[in-house]
This record gives sequence, structure tokens and C-alpha cells, in this order.
Amino acid sequence: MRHLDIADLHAGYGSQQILHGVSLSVDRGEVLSLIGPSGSGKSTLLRTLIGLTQPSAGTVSVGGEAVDYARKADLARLRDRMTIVFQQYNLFQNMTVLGNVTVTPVKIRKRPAAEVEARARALLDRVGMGDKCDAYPENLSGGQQQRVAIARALALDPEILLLDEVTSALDPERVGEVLAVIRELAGEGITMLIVSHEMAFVREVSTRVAMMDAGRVVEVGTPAQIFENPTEARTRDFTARIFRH
Amino acid sequence: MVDRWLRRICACLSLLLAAGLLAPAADARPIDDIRREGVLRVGVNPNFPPMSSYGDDGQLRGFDVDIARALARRLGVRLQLVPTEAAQRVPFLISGRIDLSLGALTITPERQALIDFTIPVHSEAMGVITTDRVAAESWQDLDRADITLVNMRGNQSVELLREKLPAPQRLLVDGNADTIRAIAQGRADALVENVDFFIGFTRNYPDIGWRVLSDPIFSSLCAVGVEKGNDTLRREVNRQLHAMHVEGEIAGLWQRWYAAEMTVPVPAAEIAAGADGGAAGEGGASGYRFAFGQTFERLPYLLGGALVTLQIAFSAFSIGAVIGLFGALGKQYGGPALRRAIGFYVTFVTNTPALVQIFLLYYALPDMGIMLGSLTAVIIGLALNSGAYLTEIIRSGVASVRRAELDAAIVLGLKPVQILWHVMLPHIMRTIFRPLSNFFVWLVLGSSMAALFGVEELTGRAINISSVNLRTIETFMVVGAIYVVLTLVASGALTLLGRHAFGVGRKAG
Amino acid sequence: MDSVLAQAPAFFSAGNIAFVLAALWRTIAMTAIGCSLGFVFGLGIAILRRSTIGWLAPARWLAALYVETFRRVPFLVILIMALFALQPVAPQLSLLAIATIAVTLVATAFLSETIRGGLDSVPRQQWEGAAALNFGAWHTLVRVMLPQAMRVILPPASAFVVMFVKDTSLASHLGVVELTFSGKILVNRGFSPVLGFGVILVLYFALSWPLSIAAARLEKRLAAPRHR
Repeated sequence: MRHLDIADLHAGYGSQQILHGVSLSVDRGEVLSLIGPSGSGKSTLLRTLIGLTQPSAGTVSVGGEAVDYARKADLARLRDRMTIVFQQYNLFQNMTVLGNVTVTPVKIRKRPAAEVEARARALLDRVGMGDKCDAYPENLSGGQQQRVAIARALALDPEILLLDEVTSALDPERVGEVLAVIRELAGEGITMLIVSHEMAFVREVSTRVAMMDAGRVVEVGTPAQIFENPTEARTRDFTARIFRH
Repeated sequence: MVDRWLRRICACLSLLLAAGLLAPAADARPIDDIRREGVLRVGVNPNFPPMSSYGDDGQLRGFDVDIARALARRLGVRLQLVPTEAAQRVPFLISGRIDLSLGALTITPERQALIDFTIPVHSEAMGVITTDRVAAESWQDLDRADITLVNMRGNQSVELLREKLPAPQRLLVDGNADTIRAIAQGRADALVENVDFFIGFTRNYPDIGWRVLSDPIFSSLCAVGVEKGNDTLRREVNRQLHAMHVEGEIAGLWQRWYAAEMTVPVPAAEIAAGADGGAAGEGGASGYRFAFGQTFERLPYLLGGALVTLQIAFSAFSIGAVIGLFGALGKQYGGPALRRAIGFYVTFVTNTPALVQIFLLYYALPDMGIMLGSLTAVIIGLALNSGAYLTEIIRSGVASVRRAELDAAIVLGLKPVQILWHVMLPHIMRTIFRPLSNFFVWLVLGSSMAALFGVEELTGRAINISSVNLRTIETFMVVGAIYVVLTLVASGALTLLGRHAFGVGRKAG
Repeated sequence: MDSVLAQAPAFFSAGNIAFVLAALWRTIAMTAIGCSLGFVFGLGIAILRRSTIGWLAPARWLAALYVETFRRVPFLVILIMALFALQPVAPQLSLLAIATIAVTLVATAFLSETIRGGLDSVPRQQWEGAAALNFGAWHTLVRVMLPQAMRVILPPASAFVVMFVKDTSLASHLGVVELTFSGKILVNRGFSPVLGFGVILVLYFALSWPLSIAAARLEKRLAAPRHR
């Protein structure tokens, strides 16, 4: 049984459809990266998976359970198992770093505050933000905020972690520190879906890579297959353009 | 676009909806309920000596108060006096807030359509109170265009005088005391009213040569008002009033408070009708039904008032803009003394109510020999307010002109006037246009306070109409809708003006 | 001027001072209660108008209608309508209560727009973040949206309250014995208008000025970035 099964998924905003039938399967513990030109639907796919964009057709199942995105209970259960790190970090501006990491486990999942806090401090230490627990997001750099956002996601013990262009909004010199954190996480058993433009990074951490174009997955394979020996012309064009830079 | 207009049209209708939900009527309390609860609630005017007013001990006293006491005593219940201004007598009865209304309630057909009357308590004879400034021997001498008659809204005499004395100008005020003050301050020449009721206020102005013209113009009868259909209460009060007339109690109380006999006695036949409680009413007419007819009839009059409203708003805005421009420039570029003076003006005006400021302009300045008409006083008051608020608004615009832009203009060799006109003004206007037009809308709405000084603008005319046709809700629903349309048109026009003249709202300025 | 000085001792009698202070208290109560209720109801309307639930569409429509109307009708007109509309429904309501309801009606309309603006100012990322973390509507509102929106809401909202303290003077027309009407009563008792209305004006200033300074401070503090 696949961990995450996506079949013929359609979605979009209003009348503008972006996903035109995405099908993709991800195994437990796999790190799958989505690549493709901008506008191909990579981010929309992640937003649809986490329920921020309503699918108009198709099915998504997690661990064999089909998810009905129109049902609140299904959505809540899904978000207990799967979470996302955003391009813009989306840290709550009115809470401290520690508050951002602890609020969901304590207030939503009703777990004991002391235990959650200890765990949160450990996670923040791990992403190198242990000394900024009481800082507010607006006083942190983008790279620092993104590392906090990753700690916030990890505090939920997700089975599946979605990473949506987590380095795109960062200054170039900050990209490395965030990638280093993710690199560490890969292979720890968390299933990850990564949207990224950092091709070297994708190639290094991914177990498989999916090429998307015009709202569909056009090719899936190992990094070596996709980057060195793609079967699809569109994949070839894309990787050629990327590596020319 | 369509969506926005739809929303605006609906906005106009919403008043109708909002008030339409509130139509049920309170039940009248029949005499049995009043006896059981042991309290009779009687409305008396709190500002109407010697009928009823607060004495030095803070208690209501007067002829009406004694009548109310006697009625409660005779009914064997406790008396609760409810202060009720003239214009609220009928509404308070309809709402069941009071059981009986005193306050010299004249029997009229309009009122009889809404409430019931007992047998008369007393008569009222209309005469003239004036001063030695006015050359007139009888009331007919007042029918001249150079005379201003003061009158009180909600009183029967208003409509009556339109027939009997058409020529004089009119000033409408809200309270009994205001009528005499208006004459004392020279705003009006004479009051045609029940002399007995009003003469008491002349004691506040001992320096004026007051006089009363002898012959009465007209007399009518005043009775106790009862909620429509409350026959048990009305007939019981009739019996008691009949007894009080026959036993001479009413005449005695009149003598006590007015030190004279009633100018015109209540006809014996009217009194006799109360002996057995009087005829049964049609009954059952209680409850409020909406009727817009009488309001729509006066729509042209109301729309005329809307023009006055705009006139007030425009005048105050224009004067205020001039004050505000100089205030803003003074505050930005002036010396410390000037800046402090402007700061004091702005702080004081923006922290006190415009209404009280205008009270001072209107009522206090005459004592110093400066007499402002009501419209003038309101416009000056609102202009002073506008000046203060616009000083702040314009200053925020002046402060937003960037030094670099000015430097660039100077380097390009523009003259100061050219800089002001081509560089500063467009920039300032873009910054402040929106607050400016919001303020204008505020001014249109704020000008309604002119009604409290007798100016016949939109709200004033609504009060005038509703005090005669007693259709207050209907009248004010229509007036509310007119205000909504007025402000929507004003904002729409200002938005268009801003867009075309100063590029307000265009992307990237 | 002489008459003002001559009247002053009688004017500042203990009875009159108590009378005016009681009236001042009513002015404060009317504003405080009306604006507080207005904030709560305004919050409700703002949330309603931002909601996307389909069957609430008619309610959203009515709310928009209400807000547009009550911001475009003079407070005096609303006061008079409140008096005549409420009396048949609730005859035992005091005039002060009716005036307070009128204040609430207007404050609700104005503050709902302020609050809506504040909620709109919270970036989309914030509530998307909350949604992805499984916050329900309530937690998203209370833990994320409102704390952030308050910085935008409070300055104009407090400016509105400062403004409205003065507008409650119009309630004197109903016969509510608030500050302005107390001045009118004293003047009708024969005191000089300079004295009667002058003292009232000073009392309004004493009430409004500290409030407006406090509002300006609040605005400055909220505008500064947080450093803790």
C-alpha cells in the first residue's frame, strides 16, 4: 500500500483550472521532489493536498484512506497526519518563536504544555534557533523564520511533510542553512513532498523526482533518470534550460 | 460596478426594513390593571410653569401636577409623574409609557385619530405676548412681514397661525422657555400662545418691557389624553373630572396657580357629558399601522430641506477649507506663537461638541450684543469645526510633500507659485482627497443639528411635519432614505471629481 | 460679564454641581456602553461579512445594507427613530437606554467597517498557515487574526469613540439628561448661557482631551514595531 495516492486530481482557483489530472503515488519514507516550469501546478498540488485549494475532481488517499476534502472531519484528520512549510514561512506574527511551535500541539491537540515546550525547545535547537525562543518573527531574518517554520511543522510529528519552495523567498546566502536542515530530515522516515528550484539539492536528497508541466505529472523517475536520461522531451528541455544557467 | 449599485439601492431600502420589523403595539392598561398594580402614570411637561415644572426642592409642581394628584387620590392609587415634552405626549400614550397625558393637550381631529380624550379639564385662550419694542394694539396689527412670530414645535397654534396671521415670518423652537428667550434676545417680536402658560418665563428677563395684548384670538379646550380604545380608564377619569368640576376643585386649583379665573370657562355641556363616564368610544383601534401618505404629500417640502442641508454643508465646508488651508500652512511654516495658537484652536474645537459650541454662539453672544440668526450661527459653528478638522487633514497633506520633489522643482527653475500649483497642490490633493470627501459627508450628516436651532433644513422639516401629522417613524424613514441618497450622490460625485482632477485612486501616482 | 460673576455663587451650588456631574456620568455611560456593545456587534458583522459560507449570503447582504445605511444617516435622525420605534416595543425603556441603543446602532455600523479593515489587513499567509495547522475558525480568529488585526483596528476605533463622546450631545434632544441637556436646564432656569453652556463646554473638553491624547499615544505605540 502506498503512503500517499493521488489519482486524476483536478483543482484551480475559480474558473481557472490549474491541475488537469495529476496522478502520483508516494511510498512511506520517500522523499519525492516536484520540478517543472513555473505555472505548471507544483505549488497548487501541495496546496490542494493540504486542503487550501478545493479539488474539483479526482481522489487523494493517505495510508489507504480516501480523503473527502469537503468534510471538515476528514480535513482535520488529514492535517493531523500531514503538514506544510510555506514559501513565505507564514509564522504567526503575534506569537514568539516558541509560541509558534507550541500553539498547535497545546491549544489544538490539547497536549500537556510542559512536555510540548521541552520538545519544541529541542526541535528549535536542532534547526539552530534554540537561542531565539522569545524573539518575534518580524525581528528574524527570512532564513531564521523558515527554520522556525520547519520546527513548527516537525512539532506536529507529521507522517507527510510538504515543503513548498521553502528557499525561494530567501536571500541567496540564507538558502544553505535551510537546505541543511531539510537534508538532515530526509531519510528519517518522514514522507516528504518537496517543490524546489534548487536542482542540485533536489538531486541530492530525493529518492524520486516528478516532472510537472501544464497541470500534469509528465514523468517520474529517480534523480539520475530524470536529470541524465529523461524520456520526455519536456523534461529534457526543462533540465537543459536549468543546467545551462 | 453593477454589484456596487445594487448594494447602494439596497442600502436606501434598508431603513424601511429596519423599522418595519418594529411595529407591534403595547397594550393599554385598563382601569382594573391600574387599580391592581396601584400606580397611575401621568405625563406632565417638566418645563411648563405654572402647569408643571421642577420647584426648588427638585419636585414637580403646578396645576397639572395637582390635577394628577387629585385623579390618583380619587382612583385610590399612587401617582407616578412621567416628564413628557410637548411633542412626546401622543407617542408616550400610544406606546403605553403613560396612562394619561396632561400638559395642556388641546382636543384636535389629528390627535383624535390616534388617541382618545376625556372631557375637558380647562380651556386655553390664545393671546399675544410681546414687548414695548413692537407697535401693536391688537393681534390683527401683527399681520405684517416685518414681524417675526416665535412658536413651539408640536403646538396646535403653529398651523392655526398660518391661517390667521399669514404675513409674519416664523421662528420655530423646541421648548416653552425658548420662545420667551427668543423674544427677549430680539430674535422674534411676539408669541401668539396661551398667555397664562408662557408669561411665567418673562420673569427670567426683567429688563424687557413685556406686555400682553388684551383680546384673545381663539380659544380651545384641553383634556386628558388616553390611549385609543382604553374606554374603562377614560370613562372612569371622566366621572372623576366631572366631580372635580362640579365640586369646584378644578376652578380652585386654577385660581391657586394662575391667580385668576379661566379666561374662557369650560362649557357646562362638555362637563355634563362626563357625569356617567361619557359615550363609549369606537374602541379597538389600538395598534400602530404604517401610513406614508401624509409624509409623501410633503415630499417637495422635504426635498427643499435637503437643499438647505447641502447649502449649510457647502458653506461650512468652503469657509472651513479656507481656515484649514491657512491653519495648515501656519502650523507647518509659521513661527512658534502662531503654531501654538493654531494648535490651541484645533485642540479646543475638536475636543468639544459642535452642538454646545453653537449653543454658545446662538444663546450667549446676544448677551454681548452680537445677534446671530439661527442659520448663521449654525454655519459659523460648523465652519469653525471644519476649519479645525481640515487644518489637521490639510497639514497631513502638506507634510507629505517630499523635500526631494521640491528640490527638483527648484532646480528646474519653477517659480514659487508654479511650484505651489504644479508640484505641491496635486500631491497634497492626492493625499488628502479621500479624508476630505469623507469629512464633507460627515458635514452633511452633522448639519442636521441645525434643526435644533429652528433651521428648516431636512431634519428640521421632518420634525415640523411629524409634529403635525404625528407620523414620526414614517417621516423619518423617508428622511433617512433622503440622507442616504444625498450622501451617496455626494461621495460618488466627489470620487469622480477626485479621479479626474487629481488622479485619486489611479495606480501608481 | 458682571451678570456671570454675580450668578456664579448660585450657579456653583452643591445641588447644581451634583446635577451636572450626574449628567456627565450619563454622557460617559452612554458612550462607553454604546461603543463597547458596538464593538462586539461590529466584530460580529465584520466576521459575518468575511465569511464565505453559502447559506449566510442573505445575512451578509443585510449586514452590508445595515452598515451602509447607518453610516449615511445623521445620528440625530437615528436617535429620533430609535425613540419612536422602540417605545411601542419596550415602553419601560428609559430615554437613556434608548439613546444608548442609538449609540450602539451607529457605533456598530462604523466599528464593523474599522474591524473589517483590520481583519483584511492580516496577510492571507497568516490564516492559510492557521488552516494548514488545523486551527478551526474560532482558534484562527482568536489566536491569529484578532491579535494581529487589533494593531490596525484600535487607533481608528479609539478615534471614533473620542469623536462620539461629543456626538452624544445630540441625545439632549430626546430629553436624556446628559451633559448638554443639564446645561440647557440650568440656562432655562435663568442662568446666563455663557455660564451654563461655557461650563458644559469645559467639561466636555476635560473629558475628551485626555481621551484623545490617550488615543494618539496608543496609535504611536501600536505603530512602532515590537521589540521584546
